[in-house]
Amino acid sequence: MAAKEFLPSPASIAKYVKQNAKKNASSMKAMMHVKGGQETTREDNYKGHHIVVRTRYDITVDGQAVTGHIMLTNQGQVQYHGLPNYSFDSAIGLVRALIDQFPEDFEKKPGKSRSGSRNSSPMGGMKMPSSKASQARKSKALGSKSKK
Amino acid sequence: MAITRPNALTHRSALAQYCDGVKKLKNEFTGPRTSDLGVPGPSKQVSTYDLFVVWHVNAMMTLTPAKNNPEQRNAAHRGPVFPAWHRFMLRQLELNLQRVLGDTNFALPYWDWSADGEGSPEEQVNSDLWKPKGIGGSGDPVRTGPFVFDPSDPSSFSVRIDTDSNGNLEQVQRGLARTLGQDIDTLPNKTDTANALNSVPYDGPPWTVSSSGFRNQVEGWVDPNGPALHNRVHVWVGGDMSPASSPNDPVFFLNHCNVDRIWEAWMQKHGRIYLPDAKAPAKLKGHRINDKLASFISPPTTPADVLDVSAQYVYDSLSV
Repeated sequence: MAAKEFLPSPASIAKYVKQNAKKNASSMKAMMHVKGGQETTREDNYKGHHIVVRTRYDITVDGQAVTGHIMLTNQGQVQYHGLPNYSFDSAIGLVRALIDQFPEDFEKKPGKSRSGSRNSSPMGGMKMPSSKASQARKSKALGSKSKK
Repeated sequence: MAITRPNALTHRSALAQYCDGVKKLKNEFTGPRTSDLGVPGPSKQVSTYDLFVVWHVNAMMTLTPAKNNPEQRNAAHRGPVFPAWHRFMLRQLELNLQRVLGDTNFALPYWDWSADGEGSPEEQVNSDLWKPKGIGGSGDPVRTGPFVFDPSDPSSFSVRIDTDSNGNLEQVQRGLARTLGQDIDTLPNKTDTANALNSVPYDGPPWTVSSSGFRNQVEGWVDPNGPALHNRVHVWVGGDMSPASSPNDPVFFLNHCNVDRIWEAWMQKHGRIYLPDAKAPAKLKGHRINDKLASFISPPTTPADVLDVSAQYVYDSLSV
């Protein structure tokens, strides 16, 4: 960065975004839309033995698939790209947190009032010293999920 | 000549300038549209500020490597590149803020969250940062400070692109949300940052969230009792700081500026050491010292290029 720092301009931003957008969109597409379950593989080496643990997740909420990428650490923690700074004791804890954080994505009845009111249920299973209620974040106004 | 990044709470004019610049970038449109970026819905122009949101999500969703990567190291997180990629991103924001502010001396302020973390939970949520003259407080939507959304004012601050429960980009039009201290009631404190500062090596096998060393410590995956340091700040702020679209909250950059300061303090103490080196195997591509960092609005750079930034900026204090 020292000798060759690039100074941005509106034109340069447009140029580089155009160059990079397609590549980024394909990376996103490759990672998302994992339907029909997803498998995680953990590996370890112990006393000269090679351990492989494959875990398959097929998660639904009210029949609706949860398709975001799930990660399992070798310590057994469940993590998720949709909530990238959190760690959970179990997949159930993760899904409860998703319902807390994104309540509008799990509403059963389209057309139900979505005033941005907050959900007060705890985020079960999340490893936190003093976990409190999570709250709904969004009141969407655009796109196919708009239910207001 | 290098600029000096100040403490946001002791240099209030720098914080006010930052907020002003963010709003300017939020209302600058250089051409890219949602349809160009794979964001579903009507094709709309994407502001320069919102390009940083999309860039962060894209990097988060770019696995490195794409296959055989069980702990899901990505192009900006969960691996060695975490501090370097965010340093690159912060500098791009800083240069663009300088441009729209017309002030080449503008320097990003940092939020010394571990100083706030020394207070009680009540004191933490009542820090000056969250006051109307800071960056506003908690709420869904936030109702105080410079980032209040007014549906009748198109130039007011709004969240326009975020991610859904599956991590997909989506269009929205709403106010910023924060839930300070609700998902977790305390910030990291000075003991936490001191422990990170003493943590060696920089990083090590398996180069993931299971590694020991400074990078994983400061990213916040090490503490078995919950999210730590950087991660803990995201969780503590909550709301729009929770999903992959977390740059939607301007406090994202104040948090990462402090993470960058901690990294700089670590390098002052332990040397400008980055691992893995260029000879590391291909499975670490994207995280080796000479690999290109995932770029979006500018030419790429490498971790090697961002190790010494003393010609660009310094911090007013490296006491973390």
